[in-house]
Amino acid sequence: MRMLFIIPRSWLFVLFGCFFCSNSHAQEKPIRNMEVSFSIGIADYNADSLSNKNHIDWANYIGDENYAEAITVKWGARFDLYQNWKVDMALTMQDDFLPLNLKLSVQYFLLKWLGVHGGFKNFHTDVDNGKQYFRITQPDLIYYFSDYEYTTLNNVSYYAGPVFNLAFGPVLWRTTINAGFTRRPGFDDHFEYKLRDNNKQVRVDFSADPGFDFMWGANSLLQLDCCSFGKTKLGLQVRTDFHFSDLKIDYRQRELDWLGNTAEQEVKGDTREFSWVEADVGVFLRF
Amino acid sequence: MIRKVYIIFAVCFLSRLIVSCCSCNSGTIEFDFNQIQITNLDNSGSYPTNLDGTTMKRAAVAFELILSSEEYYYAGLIKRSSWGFSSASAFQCDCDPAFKPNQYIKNVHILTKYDLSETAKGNTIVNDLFRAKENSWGGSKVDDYQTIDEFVSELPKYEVSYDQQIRFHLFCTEEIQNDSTQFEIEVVFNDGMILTTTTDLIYLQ
Repeated sequence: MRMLFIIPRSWLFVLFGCFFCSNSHAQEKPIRNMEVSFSIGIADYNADSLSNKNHIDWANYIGDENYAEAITVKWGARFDLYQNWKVDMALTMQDDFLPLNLKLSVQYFLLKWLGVHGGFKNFHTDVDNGKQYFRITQPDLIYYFSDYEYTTLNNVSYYAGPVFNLAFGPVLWRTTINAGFTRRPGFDDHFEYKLRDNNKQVRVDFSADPGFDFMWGANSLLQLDCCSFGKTKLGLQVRTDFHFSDLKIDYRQRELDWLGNTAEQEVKGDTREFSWVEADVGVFLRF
Repeated sequence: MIRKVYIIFAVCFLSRLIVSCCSCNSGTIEFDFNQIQITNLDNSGSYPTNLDGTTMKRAAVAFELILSSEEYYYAGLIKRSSWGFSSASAFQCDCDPAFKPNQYIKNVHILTKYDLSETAKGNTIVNDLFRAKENSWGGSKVDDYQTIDEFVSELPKYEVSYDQQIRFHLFCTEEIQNDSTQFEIEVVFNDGMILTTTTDLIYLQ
């Protein structure tokens, strides 16, 4: 968990270092067009569900095709740094209502409408009720776990790509194309079962490896200036975030029976596509 | 006037409070284990439960062993008052008595009276084919099951407690290849005393 915060912080130092080197000669106000925004949206994520084989594939239990996973509440801030730089950040609360999901993009514009950016975001996904696999595939066993359990994975994506910025009077449209990788944390899980009409009891432990998955996607921002109060502008905004990645969860499975016998095996998960779709609508104030 | 009434009530309750402060007698009642009892368990489902009959699943043979003392029952019958406030005299409370055994279990032997399999013949010690676990009627974990020797070595020795019984479960690890089975359980204490009991004749399904 600590690494998640250390790596982005080091990125920040590098990006801000580049910024100050390239603008140290400038004699203008460093921060302009400061914006704060508040929006409410919806996030839906899903990993393609493939047929289970002899072993559980945990990636099958990430997300649900039938409903959106989270309502999001998002606080945002954007500002221009000197002439060519823009910074866009957002703090998102998912269904746990903790403001833990941070998104940051630092953009450098080569032309007025075209630039490059680098950034990161962290987001969480749930592995929902994966152990039901055993209840379905081996219904004759007695299981000692509750009907609904989930494991939360705190993921972080690092990406870079081109950024497009177009302004037509009160309307502004900005899109970033992202390519990079997502770091998915490992996780542990376990359960116990007992044979029916038998004294035998077994504990099954899982230990999934952390992984780096290639990701690509796009973020868009559409703003409409509505009214002004002196130098302050109030407007509406719509924001979208799509990202896709290849997801594969490998893990170790260890069984310990009541007589102390153990059996351990490495299980390779199948690669499938993971998608994250997020949209939110809100208001912004520009100073 | 009201103030005087308050003062009178306050004095009464404070005096009551002071008298109510008492400490439990730190003495313990020493006893010897002299009773052994075995009951049949049904462990075919999620958790072991008491079995009324004598028919078990052949891979789920299980028993509960209870070691206790006759003195326990009588020692627990200390006369106590339950009228109004709990009584306290000479600052001694009516606390539950604590018990301390004079012995501890040194060994347990399980002898099968009938053949269990081709290799486990009748009238032999079959400790290796059993696992023991503390009596817990709720869920159990794989780590809770121990060999007889491990379990006995971890039993408390001369431990003072308010429950003067030792109860534990015994589970057979074999799927018994016979139509019926019966075991004799022998508990050896450190002072040389031996308590023995025999299970019912168990019919196997």
